[in-house]
Amino acid sequence: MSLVLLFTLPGLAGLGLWLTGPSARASRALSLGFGSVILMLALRLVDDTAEGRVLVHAFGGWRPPFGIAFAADRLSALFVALHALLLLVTLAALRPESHGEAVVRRAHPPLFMLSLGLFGGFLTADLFDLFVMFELVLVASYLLLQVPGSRRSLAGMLPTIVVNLLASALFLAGLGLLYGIGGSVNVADLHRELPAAPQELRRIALGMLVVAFATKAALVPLCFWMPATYPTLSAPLSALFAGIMTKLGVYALLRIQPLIALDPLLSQGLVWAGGASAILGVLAALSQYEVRRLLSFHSVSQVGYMVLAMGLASPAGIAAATFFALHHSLVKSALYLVADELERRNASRDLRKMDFRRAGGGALVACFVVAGFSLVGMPPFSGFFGKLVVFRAAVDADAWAGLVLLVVASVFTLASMLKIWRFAFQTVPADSLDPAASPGRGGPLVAMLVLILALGFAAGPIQEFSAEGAEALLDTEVYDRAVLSAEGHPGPASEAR
Amino acid sequence: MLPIVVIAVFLLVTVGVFLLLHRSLVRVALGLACLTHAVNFLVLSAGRWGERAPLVTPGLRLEDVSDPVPQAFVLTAIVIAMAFTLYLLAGMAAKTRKGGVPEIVTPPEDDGERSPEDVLAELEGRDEK
Repeated sequence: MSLVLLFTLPGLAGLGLWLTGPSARASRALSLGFGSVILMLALRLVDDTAEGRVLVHAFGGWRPPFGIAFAADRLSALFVALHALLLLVTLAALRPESHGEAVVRRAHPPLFMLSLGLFGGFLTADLFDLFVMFELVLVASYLLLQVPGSRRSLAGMLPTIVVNLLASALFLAGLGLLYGIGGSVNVADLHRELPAAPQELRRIALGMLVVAFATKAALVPLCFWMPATYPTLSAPLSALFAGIMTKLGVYALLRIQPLIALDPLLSQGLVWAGGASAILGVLAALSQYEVRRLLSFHSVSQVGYMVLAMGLASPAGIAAATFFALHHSLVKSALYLVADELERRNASRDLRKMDFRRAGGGALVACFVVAGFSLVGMPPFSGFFGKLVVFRAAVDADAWAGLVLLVVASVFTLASMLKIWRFAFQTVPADSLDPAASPGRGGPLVAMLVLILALGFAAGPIQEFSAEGAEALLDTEVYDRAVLSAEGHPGPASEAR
Repeated sequence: MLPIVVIAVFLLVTVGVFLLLHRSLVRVALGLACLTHAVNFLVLSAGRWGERAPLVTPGLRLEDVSDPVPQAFVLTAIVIAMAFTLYLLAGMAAKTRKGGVPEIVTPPEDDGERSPEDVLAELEGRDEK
């Protein structure tokens, strides 16, 4: 039941807000209400799946593998909860007083549509349904890209549409081939059918899916649409995008890991692509002066860590990738929120124009320091534990070359954080104006700060949760049994142990 | 049937890639349409499509009927691709109206040379000067 509610509630909320078109303030209050309910549902889902149960709902009474099924295991629940959390923080950060009424009113309905697509993508057990959810997310993200309505955001949107249409075409082609050789697009069914399929065909079909997902996750060399697009978004929205949109690609790669693990060549490809992204992304970031472009290139680098870890094809690697995804979402969203404050206070997006006298206020500085240190990987913040598990998984799998790339990338990460610190928090530009810009409220910044600290201090239990989730993901036994034995009549979600 | 599908996919991909390599948005949109249709043919061929009955009728063995699932996939994909192509063209029209050229260009970087008023107007969703 909660699966269907999680999927329908954001849709109804988005539709309602779009049809009634309330004022910016009313819209914000309603959105925060919906966001809180969604967060509660998501947290309940985490609780329900914590002991390894898989919740399944077969739509329309069609039994899987014939009908479309939603299935929530620990991995899905973690990503659902992550998005619900980031959605609420974004809604809180998007204030009519600081971002303008037009931006707030335009952003709310597509934000909920985006959530609908993301939840559907995280929960579905059917690859074609995943394709449809990807497209839903894309439609909503194109609308969100147009929230600023400027020439720059239009110019940024068009290449993104083209790249994503190409990736979708590749996804669909891979799906067609997969259906041709496996006779199904249901994930649980494919777990059983694909090992017997001819290896070359399987490699081509899965390879197409991997390239499509890698484009969405923005891996080198398929990443360049992202740093071109994210800076054109309205800033709190880019915090949500950086936090969760690339993670949809990462999640999709994780979901098909049992299939990818059949083919060592594909796993090896993921390791190399991950290593290349980690190092090239951070080098590109170092050369940027526009804050949010710098941060976008960082995302490329950090997604590399996750993909390298999952390419090791070991339970430890998958668990490390999951935890790192959680950590990176929180930290990167926090940094984008800091960038938003800096941009508005300085009325400039360029680091060289920023003035440290406008970067006052404890919340802003504290949030940047904690998020920055966490991104670099200093203990006791979440990044340290995230990198620790990734490095340990790499050592266990004897991936020494990858390990060296990741360590070098970490050093450059520190350098690029210092670059932001030096320009935005320490210097006065030559043609300085009077410090006159108004600061926003620090609430969302403090919330992100607390979340990052909490993830650092609760790293033990959360890593245990993701390790168990990774074991279950690679084992597939429980998931398959739950999905394929789902009740064939419409009714409350059936559950299986 | 299969050779015809192979040739069709080959031609559509060739034309699609050729058109995509151009900067003009109209050509890019047409190229994308060709490419997505090439993929549609590919997916259809996965359903053992060809000289088989389209519908299950009495007296027919199931092996002699074509598989309806890839047809459903393709139907969904056509609708989605059409919607996105339209959105792309609408974006192109909006860009032309705002004085831009209907071409794919890298979005300009913010080099810090714009006035603070312009930047704030953009951040708050108002029209720039």
